Amino acid sequence: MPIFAKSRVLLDRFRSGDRAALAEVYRFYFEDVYRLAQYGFVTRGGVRAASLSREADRLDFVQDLFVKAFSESARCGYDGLRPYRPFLLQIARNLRIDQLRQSNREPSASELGHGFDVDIDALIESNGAWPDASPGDPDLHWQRLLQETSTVLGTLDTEVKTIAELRFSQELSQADVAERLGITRRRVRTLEGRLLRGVRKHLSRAGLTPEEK
Amino acid sequence: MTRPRKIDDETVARLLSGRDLPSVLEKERLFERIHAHVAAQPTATRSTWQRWVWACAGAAALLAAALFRPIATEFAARGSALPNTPSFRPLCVGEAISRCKPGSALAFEVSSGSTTPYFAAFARRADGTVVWYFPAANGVSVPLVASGGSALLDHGVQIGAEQPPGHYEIYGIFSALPLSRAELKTALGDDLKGSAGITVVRRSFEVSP
Repeated sequence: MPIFAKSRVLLDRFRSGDRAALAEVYRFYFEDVYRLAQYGFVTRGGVRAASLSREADRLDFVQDLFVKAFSESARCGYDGLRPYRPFLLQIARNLRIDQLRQSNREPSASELGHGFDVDIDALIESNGAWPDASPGDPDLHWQRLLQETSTVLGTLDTEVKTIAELRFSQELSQADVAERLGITRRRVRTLEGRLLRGVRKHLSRAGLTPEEK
Repeated sequence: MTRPRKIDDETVARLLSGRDLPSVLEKERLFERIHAHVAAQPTATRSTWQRWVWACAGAAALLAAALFRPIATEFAARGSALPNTPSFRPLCVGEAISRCKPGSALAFEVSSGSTTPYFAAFARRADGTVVWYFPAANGVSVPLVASGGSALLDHGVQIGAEQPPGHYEIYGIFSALPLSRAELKTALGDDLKGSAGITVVRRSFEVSP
């Protein structure tokens, strides 16, 4: 369900620039914008924007996009009637093309071999889903890290395991986790820090950090 | 393929989520940066949507007044009072007020009666085709703020492909209760004049090429 269809109050708060409303919209659409950077796209006019291969570049793009989309003019330019996602993706599409042009890298058909050739205009028009990423080559190091993380999680007490689930799998804020568990936010922060340090130490002991090699 | 990576909190957070995608920690950090940029931009004290629309509509009104002063229009200049009965004016944003081009935004200045605090609107072409503005297909007519005068509705409409250039009649329907599209159709009747409990106001409107 589109985010603003759930709540007119949220739309009003969003338009007024309320921080919590912006955060909610950001969390809701982060993945869509990230995928646009990750996959790249082609337009009906034949413009091709390659995928951004570096993680830092993807996150920079996500930042630039939301700064633009959350500007007063963009917030107020949204009519509140149509789904917000195509509106946001249109801004992202145009921003990506502008950035390519500004970097003197005119987007063109020569940038082949990257991304999924997603027809961004069709996706915006249909408000459809992104294609699934192909699995690619298995990252054996990542698989090993996942195994070890799972092992260390199994040794932790229930409270910490619950925090790991709520905070990192469900991506709730520390405040929401605290409310859900009936504990203070400070305790969530303390346990979260302990969890992260514990996993890091375990992976280091297992010889999985670059420094250990 | 093996790709050793630095094990920092962000990587551990990704491992705990089970996905090699930005974790909640990275997202939160990024949002702080985004918000810092947004908060540094000039802010408005008035409802920003209304401020923006009023600004755009005001500019369009001044332009229209300057260029088309001799021509009588039902789109009175901003600031003139609407009668104290249910009424509305469509305001085209960024164009001459009474004419919209495809892609431009349409706003509504609405004055509700004391007994009809809900508003719905649709446009009707000469061939009878209807384009609903609000409510949405599965929604109900929108509540109006009791301002004691006219106020800009915080719903806007973008003139899309469903409204090609041509002449339209916009129907504004004021009702005592929130009504769905089906209920509105029933209440309007075949002659679109309405029945007890609702007030229908019509405005001419042009979409130009």
